[in-house]
Amino acid sequence: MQRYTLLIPRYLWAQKRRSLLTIVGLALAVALMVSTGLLITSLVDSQIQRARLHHGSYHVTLKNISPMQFGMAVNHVKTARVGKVTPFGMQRYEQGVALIAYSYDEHARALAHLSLDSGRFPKNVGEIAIEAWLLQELGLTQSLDQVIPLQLTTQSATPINDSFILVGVLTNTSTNRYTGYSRALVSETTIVHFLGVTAQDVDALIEISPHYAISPTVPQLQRDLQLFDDQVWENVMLLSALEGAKHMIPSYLFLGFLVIVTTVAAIYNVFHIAVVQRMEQFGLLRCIGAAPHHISRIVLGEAIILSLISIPVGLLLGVGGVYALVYGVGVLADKIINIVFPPWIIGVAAGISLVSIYLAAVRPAKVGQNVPPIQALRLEQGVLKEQQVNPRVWHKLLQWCFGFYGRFAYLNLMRQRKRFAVTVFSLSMGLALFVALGYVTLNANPALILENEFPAPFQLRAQSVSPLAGYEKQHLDTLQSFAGVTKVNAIQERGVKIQYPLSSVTAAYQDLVQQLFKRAISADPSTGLVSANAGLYGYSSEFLQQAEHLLIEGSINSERLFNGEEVLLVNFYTSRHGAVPVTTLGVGDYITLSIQLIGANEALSEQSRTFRIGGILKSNPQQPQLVSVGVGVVMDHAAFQQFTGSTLYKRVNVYTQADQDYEVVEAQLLTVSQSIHQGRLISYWEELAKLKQEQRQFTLLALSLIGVIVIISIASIVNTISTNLLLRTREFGTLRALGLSNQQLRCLISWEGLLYGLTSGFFGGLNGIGWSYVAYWFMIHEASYLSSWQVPWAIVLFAAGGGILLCYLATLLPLHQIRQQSIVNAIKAVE
Amino acid sequence: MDIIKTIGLKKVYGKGETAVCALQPTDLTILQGEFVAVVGTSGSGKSTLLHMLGGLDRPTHGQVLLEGQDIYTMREEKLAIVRRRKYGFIFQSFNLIPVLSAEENIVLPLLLDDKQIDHSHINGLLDFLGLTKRRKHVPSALSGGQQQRVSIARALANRPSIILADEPTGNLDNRTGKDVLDLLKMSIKKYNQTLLLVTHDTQVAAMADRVLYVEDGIVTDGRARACSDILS
Repeated sequence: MQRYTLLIPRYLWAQKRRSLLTIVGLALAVALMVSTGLLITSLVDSQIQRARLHHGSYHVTLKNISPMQFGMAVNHVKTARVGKVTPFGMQRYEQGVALIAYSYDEHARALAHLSLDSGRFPKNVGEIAIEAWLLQELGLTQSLDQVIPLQLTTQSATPINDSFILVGVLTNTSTNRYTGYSRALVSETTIVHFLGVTAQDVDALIEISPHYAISPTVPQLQRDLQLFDDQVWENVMLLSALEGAKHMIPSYLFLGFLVIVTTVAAIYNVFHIAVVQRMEQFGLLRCIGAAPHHISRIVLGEAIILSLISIPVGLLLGVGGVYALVYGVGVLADKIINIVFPPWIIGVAAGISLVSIYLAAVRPAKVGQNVPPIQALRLEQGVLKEQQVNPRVWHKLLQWCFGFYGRFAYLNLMRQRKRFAVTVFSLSMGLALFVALGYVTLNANPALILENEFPAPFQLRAQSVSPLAGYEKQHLDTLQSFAGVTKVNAIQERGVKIQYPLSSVTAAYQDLVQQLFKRAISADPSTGLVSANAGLYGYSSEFLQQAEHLLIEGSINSERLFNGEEVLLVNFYTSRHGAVPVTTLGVGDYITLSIQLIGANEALSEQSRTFRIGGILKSNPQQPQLVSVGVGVVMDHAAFQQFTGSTLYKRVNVYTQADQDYEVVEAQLLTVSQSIHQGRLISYWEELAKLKQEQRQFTLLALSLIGVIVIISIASIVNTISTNLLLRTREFGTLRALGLSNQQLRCLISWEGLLYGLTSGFFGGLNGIGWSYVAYWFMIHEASYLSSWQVPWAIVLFAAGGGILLCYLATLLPLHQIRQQSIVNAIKAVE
Repeated sequence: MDIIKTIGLKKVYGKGETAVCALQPTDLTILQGEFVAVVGTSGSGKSTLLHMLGGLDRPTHGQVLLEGQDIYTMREEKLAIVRRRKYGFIFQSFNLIPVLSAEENIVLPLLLDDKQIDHSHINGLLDFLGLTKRRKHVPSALSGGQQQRVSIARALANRPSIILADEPTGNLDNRTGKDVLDLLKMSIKKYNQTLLLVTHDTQVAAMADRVLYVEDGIVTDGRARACSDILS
């Protein structure tokens, strides 16, 4: 050996297993940081990309602008791309759906992300491209070159009655399918041909230059082009998605923070222990003349060697793990379009790891430097400075609770309080992260969000607004009788007038109405009451009972709802700015509902009735799409029927067995759906299948993260407990010489592990509860379906139990080593 | 009356070319109440002999009969009980448990045995060894001599038949060492115990009833040699 620093690799090599454990712990901690960072940045980036893909890349639509104004928009310094959309005409169908034909120029098609399933975009007169779902709805095939007869109403009041050639099948737009309004494309020459005008008003899709902020640019465009308010329509969906992505950033930052805290604690602990176990060697080196700076160099040298191995390995593992998860296993493959690889993540992860390792090394290095040589020579208590544990009265209590071995184990742990605290902190952080991730996995699975929006694989819908159109009880019975159908849930729906005092309308809602409809909310001067449109919904009692999680205030009293004594109020209007409360009405207040009834000979009469509010819901049960501009009122079927006189259902959700052949069921349901005027069948099973896949992937991702945390925790706790125990080989040798049997040895050592586990489990559980609440607080803005926060006891108990078990298991390896070591060798450690 | 008897006791460390014979086959008998000193140079095998007699280290060959029973045919659990009840160990470095007080260290073998603590006996020991005022102190608060007295008290706490002391005065100054030896002698006399004591010190060996001389793993009974020869 030429240099004393060669002691470092020799020692690391001699202690191969321990060194490997340390490297594994450090590398996994780095990998966890890197992979979390990469996943978060990729998710944010993909969310924005996806929003553009689904809702178009244009930020604003300028409606009905003149060709001159269009030219101004194209040449405007703040616009990046401008697409031209020329409206052509609309046709309504018996099925309750409609076709709206436009001409989109190349820019418009790119900005709206229109794509084809087959064929091409129209370019000649008389050619048309139609969305796939509409063809299916109309009972047409997707064969190209087929003739489509159309009767279009146009703005020029000249109806067009002609046949068109299908040249392309447009990819479905889910929102269009839901609303029933389908987009069709024709060429500009077709519009000129049929309408005979070349300079008609058009719509312009505007993409604002990335160099300018969107919010101030939109009004500037309006001013510069001299447009009215109702000519400027923001792409609310895109802006919402962009804002949504921004809203998610705090959640991601929180997750990042948790991961960093956990990994820093783990790195600190793992490395601290790795250095601490060499203290005796430092003491001996001091005895033979090593100066403090020699010790310092050895410790830092060890830090450098371990960092040089573990950080690159961790970085490779993290990056490789993300690629393997996304491209190999397919986890989040639907969510992540491209893995973004910003170098700063690598830098931050490597930097944090280095700083943690350095900090973990500084303290032991200082202790090592200051080890008095005589103390090392005497080796009476090892060279580690241990804290004296003075007898306390409550130690007797401890003995009474846990017996002699429990108390003995406690005293042993208290000899190195700081090390005990660091280990407990590290492990409890891991457990807390486990609880928080577990809570998020169980409650905030993105698939659940959509599942909430698509409650059943099929929905039959009476598209007609007429109160006389809808499904009857016999239809429900027929549906229920189909093989594979497990449950049928029907919802009644009706437009009503609602009256409440003007004073109860919230300022936020008044502002919103002013902004959206350019009018103020006003009350009847004689009564002081606002009369507004509202949606009235009737649900079955069973359905309502399951809506408890949506309850913000009050209760769901089945009996009162059934008798019509009470109603539930959906008091929120949801916009891209979030959910705005419409009124200040609360439980116990009264509302008056008015409805137009159709009597004999179709004579209309109005019926009004006052209801007490029994509860406030945050959205319609299982149907968050049912959003009214104002409030929604939820009733029991019986009360709905009594008030409106209607037994018809507007929406029927059909649930099927999981392993059902959906196409067979779909064919049966179609016959029932079309048996009424403007009845439609909407199939969500493909979306649901995709969601279930997504759910599995999300769970797999969470399990992967949890798995890494568990491995880091195992590395950390095994390292700590092993070191703690193996440093006391002499003591165990003495105890065995005095007659401590193997069973008693196991009992003693197990208690040490259990005390680590109990303490970590307690603090980890407590932390986890807090973190799960913070996670809930972050998520509630995005996931309105979340039920109110409750302590996730099951996860907490599982984590705490797991922690205790882990600590117990971590004692088995050193226990085995201690038992295998001969008593003489153990005592010779100092003799 | 024999309390320990060895038959062909042999210990080899390592295997093949690196094998070292720490103890050649040894036949030995130790009587109850005897004070036997084991002397020899460093590495001669005296500690090996003591460890094997005390059930701490398994021999390569041969038997150790304690009151006629071969202790190495016992299962580990049984052997632990034998160590706990029949032997008292005293180490050169005291080997006290740092988190326990002096008194707790002393009663530790009784606690391991789930025995009721005979407080009068323990108080007697503390008094006898001059530790009464230090009973609540943890080892770090005691001097070297006091720590060794605690370890002696621990060895005597369960009234063992045999006390095995491995250089008990090695870490102590002459005066404290002499006090410790006096205490040990008084103790074995008082409780009719057998004492096997490993030492380098000729003066200590001279106090023994009998001396075993160990050289290159060969044990020679002092009765067969003139004490002066051995000590020279």
